Amino acid sequence: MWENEPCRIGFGFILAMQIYFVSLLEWAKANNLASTWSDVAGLLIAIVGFTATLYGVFRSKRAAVLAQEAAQSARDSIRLFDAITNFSAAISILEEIRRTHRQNDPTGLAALPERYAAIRKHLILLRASPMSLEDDQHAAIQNALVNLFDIEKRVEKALAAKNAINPARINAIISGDIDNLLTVLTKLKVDQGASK
Amino acid sequence: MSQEKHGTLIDRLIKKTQDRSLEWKTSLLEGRYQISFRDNTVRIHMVDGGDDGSPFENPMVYLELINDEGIVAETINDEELDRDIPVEKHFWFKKMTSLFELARRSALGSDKILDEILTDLDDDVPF
Repeated sequence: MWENEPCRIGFGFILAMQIYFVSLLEWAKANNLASTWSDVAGLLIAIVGFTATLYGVFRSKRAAVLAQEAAQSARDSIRLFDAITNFSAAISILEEIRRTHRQNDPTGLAALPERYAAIRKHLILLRASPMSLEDDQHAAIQNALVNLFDIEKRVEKALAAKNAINPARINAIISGDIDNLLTVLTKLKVDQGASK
Repeated sequence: MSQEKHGTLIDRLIKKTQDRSLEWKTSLLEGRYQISFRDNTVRIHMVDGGDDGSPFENPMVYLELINDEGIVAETINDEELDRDIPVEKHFWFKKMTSLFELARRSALGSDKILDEILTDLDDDVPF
């Protein structure tokens, strides 16, 4: 009858479980935890159900964390994109200002104060942006702002007195700032490439 | 108290410029050198005695503290420091002159040029 090995093992297992559950029921009865098999079954279902619930909660929590990380990453990407756009805009305005200085045309020079205001706005936006910039990147922005403040004062005075400006000196300073801002822009673009 | 902070600022600027942690830049204004930090800038210049516009006979060194808008918020000069923090005669003039010279060398890249020339001279292998 027991020539088949798996059958023998299966029968042994069922017997062992029966003995185990009988002892479990006796123990449960002795401790006023259960009086019938249905109580034991209820207890087992409750344990399995509770475990399943815990597993579900952990899975939901993990999914929520992943969703939060994805949202944060999307926000960072948008900030980085904004910063890159503002840096690019600031650099092109500076290049345009440099060309106007070089041309030294009175009509072009008269429009410069507005351009200075525009570039200062971009730089202030960059400094205030929630994008975390390093100290030397902030310093590049601050240096450009200080130089633009000085240039604006000088050009305004020259325009008021109808004097000529010294484009070579002013443009040398602006070129230095463009170089520094380009270094920051390149670093931001590398970061953007790395985050993709 | 404020003067003591000015003294500390000058000492730290000298130290950090000497160890090349700070890279000064030339300013739009002739003969002035500036270093920008996160939200502020320090600018230094020297006015020679007898220069146009200088009310003093002796040379004076000025350090300007510039805020985040580019406006000069405060100006320090060596005579004020020598008066307010007396150490020895012309102590702060010597210090600020030294800082001015360090800033000038940093902004114009004198030390870098010197290093490169010396390296080039070292590379000359005699045959």
